[in-house]
Amino acid sequence: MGWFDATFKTFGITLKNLFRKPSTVEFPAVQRERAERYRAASFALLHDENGEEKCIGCKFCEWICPSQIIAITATPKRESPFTGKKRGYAEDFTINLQACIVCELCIQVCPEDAIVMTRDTEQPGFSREDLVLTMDKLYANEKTTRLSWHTGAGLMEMQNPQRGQEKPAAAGAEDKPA
Amino acid sequence: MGLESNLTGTFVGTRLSDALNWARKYSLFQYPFVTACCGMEFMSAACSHYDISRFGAEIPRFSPRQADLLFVVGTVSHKLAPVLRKVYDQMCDPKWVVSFGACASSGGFYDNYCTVQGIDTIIPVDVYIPGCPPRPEQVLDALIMLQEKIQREPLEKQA
Amino acid sequence: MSKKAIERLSAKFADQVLATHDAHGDETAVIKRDRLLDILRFLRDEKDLAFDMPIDLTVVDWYRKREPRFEVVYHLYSVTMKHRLRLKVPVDEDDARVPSSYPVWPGFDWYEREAYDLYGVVFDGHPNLKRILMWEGFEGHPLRKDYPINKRQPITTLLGEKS
Repeated sequence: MGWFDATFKTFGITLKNLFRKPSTVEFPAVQRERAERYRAASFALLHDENGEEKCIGCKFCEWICPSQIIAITATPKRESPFTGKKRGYAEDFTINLQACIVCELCIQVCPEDAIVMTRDTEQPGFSREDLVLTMDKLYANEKTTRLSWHTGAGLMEMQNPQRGQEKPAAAGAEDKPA
Repeated sequence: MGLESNLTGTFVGTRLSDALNWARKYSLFQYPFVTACCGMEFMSAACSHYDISRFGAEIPRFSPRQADLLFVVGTVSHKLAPVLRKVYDQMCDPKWVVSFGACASSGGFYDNYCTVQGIDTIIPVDVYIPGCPPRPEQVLDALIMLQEKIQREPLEKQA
Repeated sequence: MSKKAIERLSAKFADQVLATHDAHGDETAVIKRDRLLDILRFLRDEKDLAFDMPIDLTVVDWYRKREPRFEVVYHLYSVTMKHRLRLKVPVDEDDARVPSSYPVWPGFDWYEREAYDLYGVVFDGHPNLKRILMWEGFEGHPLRKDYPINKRQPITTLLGEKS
């Protein structure tokens, strides 16, 4: 009589689920909770405490990108108006999100922790050009989106906690390649 | 049919277009052209946590003749390109195409001898979703954007 | 693991084996292609070798690095004896032909078609040697190192149409 009991058991499960709270998240109004270390395929460029751009235009991220979607135009070195030291700047910085595979390599190689990923996903677009992140949009993302927890130094410290204590992350810009 | 060309710009024509578009945008029958790993996220968008049926795109139709929304999910190789084109040609008007994920949008990081560099080289695309793979939220975002686009379509394009 | 397979092979086909080496039980024999089918049959049929399972067949392209240019690589495994062997057959670019191993292991059928498709090595005696991954009308062999990295050959005809 196993099948007989099983029939009533399934009826019971159906009845129980009838009064359960539905698991659906009403998406446009409510966003589902994400994991602490979640990162999405969108980026932001950061400013330092003086309000100056952190990116020095060293092109490390452009070289390491497997999809070759980062394009940087660097300017020659000039003196920073805040610290007085000579450093490079990025004149133009675009990330083409059409082919980003969220590998995080650009963040790992950044010597200045200038680029981070965001916790908010990028909006779909009606054309391919809508998916290109320009420099203005990347700097606007710093203010408008929730940033991910990790930067290049943060990831390095997670791998090797002693390393961060020996050498503080706020090193001068002049000893970095530009 | 010819009738709608007389109605273009008139009050009746705009009201009719609104009503037609309203009916169309909430009854999208999708054809999932799933070729790669993005299919997992597509399934997740269809499951109960996100529930794509709340936007009226509930039922996947596995015949292109019954579908009016083509989801191209995943990498499309050159050998598969004639198949995709034929599937698109078999769909009845009005029809829309969503390019799902990095590989379908631009070829992704498969910049090689066998991968189509974006499905818009073969078929017209309405909405591009970035991500590798996209979140289900982005899929629903794209669906909402597509619904807005359908609502804006003029009457003469609906013939 | 013992070097039994290499020793047996070298004893039987002393003039055919060009070189042997093994590293951590990973046995490799570089052989000539002249009596390749005899060697393969010998490896399969001997009771204490019994290589009954074809694992993999692939080609290495040593473009401008080594002569001869191509190396056809056979990976064999014995289910009963639980040992492995790798055979390498160097072939020249101008004469890139190898006798097909289909009569010995029918499992190498599609591997040989793939190797022909992507590297252009011809397998003599294969019953159906045509492209398996690339489409009809594809020019060249894309995994050769001298295939242009940016060359694209899209299909311009619709499915079912004649080009």
